[in-house]
Amino acid sequence: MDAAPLLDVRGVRKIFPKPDGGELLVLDGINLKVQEGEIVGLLGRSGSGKSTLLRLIAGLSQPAGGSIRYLGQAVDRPAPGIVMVFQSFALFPWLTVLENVEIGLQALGLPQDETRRRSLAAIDLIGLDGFESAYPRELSGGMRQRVGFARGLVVHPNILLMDEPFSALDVLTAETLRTDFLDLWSEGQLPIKGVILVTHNIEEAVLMCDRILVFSTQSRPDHKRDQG
Amino acid sequence: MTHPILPISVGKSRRGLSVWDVVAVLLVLAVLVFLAQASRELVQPLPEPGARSITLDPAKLPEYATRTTLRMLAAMTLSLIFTFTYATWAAKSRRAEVVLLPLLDILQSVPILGFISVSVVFFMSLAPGRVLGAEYAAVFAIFTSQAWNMAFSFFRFGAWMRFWRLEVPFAMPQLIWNMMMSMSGGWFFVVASEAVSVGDTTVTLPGIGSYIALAIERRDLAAIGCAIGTMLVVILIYDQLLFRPLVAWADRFRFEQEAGLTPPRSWVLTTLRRSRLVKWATAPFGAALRWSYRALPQPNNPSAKRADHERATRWVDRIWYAAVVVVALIALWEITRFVSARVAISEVGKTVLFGLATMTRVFVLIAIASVIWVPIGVSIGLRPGLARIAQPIAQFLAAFPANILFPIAVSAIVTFQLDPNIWLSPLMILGTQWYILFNVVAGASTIPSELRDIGTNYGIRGWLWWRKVALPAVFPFYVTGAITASGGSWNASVVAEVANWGQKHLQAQGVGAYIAQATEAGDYHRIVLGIAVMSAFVVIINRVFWRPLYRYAERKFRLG
Repeated sequence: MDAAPLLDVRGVRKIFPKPDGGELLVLDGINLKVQEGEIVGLLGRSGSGKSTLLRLIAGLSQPAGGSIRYLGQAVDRPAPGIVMVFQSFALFPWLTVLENVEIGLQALGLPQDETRRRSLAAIDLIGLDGFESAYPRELSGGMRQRVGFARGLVVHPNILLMDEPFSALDVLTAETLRTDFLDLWSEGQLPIKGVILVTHNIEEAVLMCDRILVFSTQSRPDHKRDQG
Repeated sequence: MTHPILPISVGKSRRGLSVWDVVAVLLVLAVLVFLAQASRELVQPLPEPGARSITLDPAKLPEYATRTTLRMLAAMTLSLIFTFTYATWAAKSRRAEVVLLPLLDILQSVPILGFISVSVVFFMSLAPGRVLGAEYAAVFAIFTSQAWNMAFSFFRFGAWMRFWRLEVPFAMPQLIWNMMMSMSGGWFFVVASEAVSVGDTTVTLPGIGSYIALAIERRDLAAIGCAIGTMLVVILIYDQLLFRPLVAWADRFRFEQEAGLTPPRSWVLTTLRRSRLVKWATAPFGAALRWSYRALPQPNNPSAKRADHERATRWVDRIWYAAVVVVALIALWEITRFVSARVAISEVGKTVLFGLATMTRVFVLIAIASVIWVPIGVSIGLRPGLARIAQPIAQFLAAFPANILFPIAVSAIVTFQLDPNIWLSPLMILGTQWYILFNVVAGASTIPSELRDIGTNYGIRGWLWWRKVALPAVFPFYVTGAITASGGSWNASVVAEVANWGQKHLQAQGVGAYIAQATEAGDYHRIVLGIAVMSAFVVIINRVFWRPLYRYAERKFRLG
C-alpha cells in the first residue's frame, strides 16, 4: 500500500530576505505527503506561506532546508509532471485560447498534429468548445479560468497545483467551475493523479478536499508579512 | 509640487542648523554664482570676424563646458514654460486644439538643425553686434529639440487646482522621463549649434561644440579626447545634481504599486529635504499655491458650458475652420513661390530621391539596432538586480552627445578609405539606439511574474519562449522606442551625413546632407525645400507605418 507517494515534502523551510537586510521566516518544518487520488487543501490566512509552499513544489523557487520529492525524485527545477493554475489565470493576452492551451505541449516538443488534437480535446473537456480562436480578453473571468485549467490538463500532469483558482471569480461562477471540476475528477475524466489546492475559503476546502492542512500564523504579526 | 519637502525630518531637525543646511546653502550659492558668472559674458561684443575666440587650450574647457551647460539650462526652462502654456492653451479651447495638436506633431518632425539654419540670421538681428543674438539662436535650437516632445507628454489639462493636484503629479514621472530623454537630444544639438555658419553669417559661441569644431579643423584627436572627457564629467554632474534628485522625488507619483523595488535615491534630494533652511524658504510658495486653489474662480459646470457652446457658436466654428484653411492655402502658396523662385521642379524630384536614401538608412539602422538591443534589453529587464546596475549606465550613455564621437569615426573612415555612403550611416543611430534599449528594458520589467512563472512551470524555453512570451510582451514598448529612435535618426542625419576631418570632406547621399550643404551655402530656398521634404517623409512614415504599428501593438499585445 505504501509505495512511493506522489509527493513527499519533508521538513521544508523557506526564508525571504527583507529589504532592510533582515530575514523573514515563512515556512519551517513543513511535512506533507500526497497519495494518488487525493485532493489536499492548504488553508490559511494571507501571508501564512501557502502560496510559497506551492511555488516550492512547482520548482519555481528553492527551499532553504528540507526536501521535496516527486515520485521519489528530488524537485530542484520545474518537474514536467507538476503544473500550476494561478488565481490571476496568467493567460498570455496575445495568444488565442487554442494557442494558450497548446503552448505547454509545444514546450514538450510534441508534433504539431498531436498538439492540436490534444489541445482541442482539452478545450472540449473543460467546456470551451467553440471559443478556440477567441482571445482571453474577450472571455469572462470564469471562461478564462477554464482556459487556465485546460492549459494545465492538456500536458497530462500527475499533480495539479491550484493557487486560489476560484478567488478571482464571482460566487456563482466559482461554484459552477468547482462543481464542473469535481464532476470531471470523480468521473475519472481528468488525466491527473493528485491535486493540491491553496485556498482561504473554508467551505471550498471542505467541499473539494480529501485532506486539509491548516497553516498557522505566528503570534507576532510583524514577523510574517503578506506574501500574497 | 505643493509639498516639495517631506515632513519626515521635522522631529530630528529641531536643533537649529544642521550639516545639511550648510550643504544646501553651498549648493544654492554655487548655482547663483555660476549663473551670474556666465550671464555676464552674454553682453560682451561679438569678436571681430576672422579673429579666433576659441582656443584648443584644455584649461579653457571648464569654462566652455559651463557656457554650454548654461545654454542647456536656459533651453530646458523655456521648454518647460512652453510645455505648460501650450498645453493649457490647447485644452482651454477646442478650436485651438484642432490646430495645435497636429501642429505639434509636424513641428516634431521638422529637422532641428533646419530650424537653426533658418532662424540664425533672425536671432542675430535681435541683438546686433553682441554675443547675445548668437546665444538666442543656439538656445532656440536646443529648445526646438526638447519642447515638442515634452509638450506631448503633458497634453491634457483641467482647472488650476486639479491641474497641480492631480494632473501634474500624474504626468510627472512621464514628464521627467521625457526631460531626460530630451536632454540627450539637447546635448546633441547644443554641440551642433555652437559652430554654425549659414552663408556669410558665422556663429562661433564659446562652448564645447565650437571647441570640437576647431579640433576637427585642426585634426587634433587629443583635444577631442579632452572634450569627450569634459562632456562625461558635465553629464555626470547634471545627472547627480538635477536628474537623480528629480527622479527620486518623482518616484512618489508613480501610479503602479509594485512592492519590492528599491526606490531611486539621491544625496542631493536628501540634503535638500533634511535642510530646515530650504524648508523655510520654500514654504511660502507652497502656501501661495494652496491659497490660489481657493482664490481662483472655479471652472463653469461643464455640461452648461457644452450646451452654451452648441447654441451660440456653430457658425463661429465654421468661420474658424475656414480661416484655418485660408491661412493654410496662403502658406502653401508662399512656400511654393519661395522655393520655386530659385529651384527647378527636377530638383524636387532629386531631393525626394535623397529622402528615399536617408529613409533606407534609417530603417536598416533601426533593424540592426533592434536585433542587437531587444535581446539584451529583455535579458536586463527580467533581472531587477542587473537592471539597477544597467539603468544608470544606459542613461549616461544616452545623455552623451553622440556627435562628439563623430570625429573619431570620421578619422577612421578617412584612414581606412571606407565608403561614406555606408560608414557614415551608423553615426545617425549612435545616439538614438538607446531609446530602443530603454523601452525594451522597461517592457520586460513589466511582464507580470505569473506569466514568467507559467513560462518556467511549463518548461517554455528557447525560441518558443522568445516567440510566444518575451517578444510579444515587449512589443508595444519596442515600437515606442523604435518610433523615437527613428525620429532621432532623421534629425541626426543632418549632422551625420556630412562630416569633415581637417580639409577632408566626407559626404553621403541623402536629404540630411542636402540640408547641411544648403545651410553651408546660405541657400535658403534649398534649405526650405530640404526641410519640407524631410518633414514630409517623417510625417508620412509616422502616419503610414509607425502609428498603425503602434495601434496594432496596443490592441493585441497590451498586458492585462
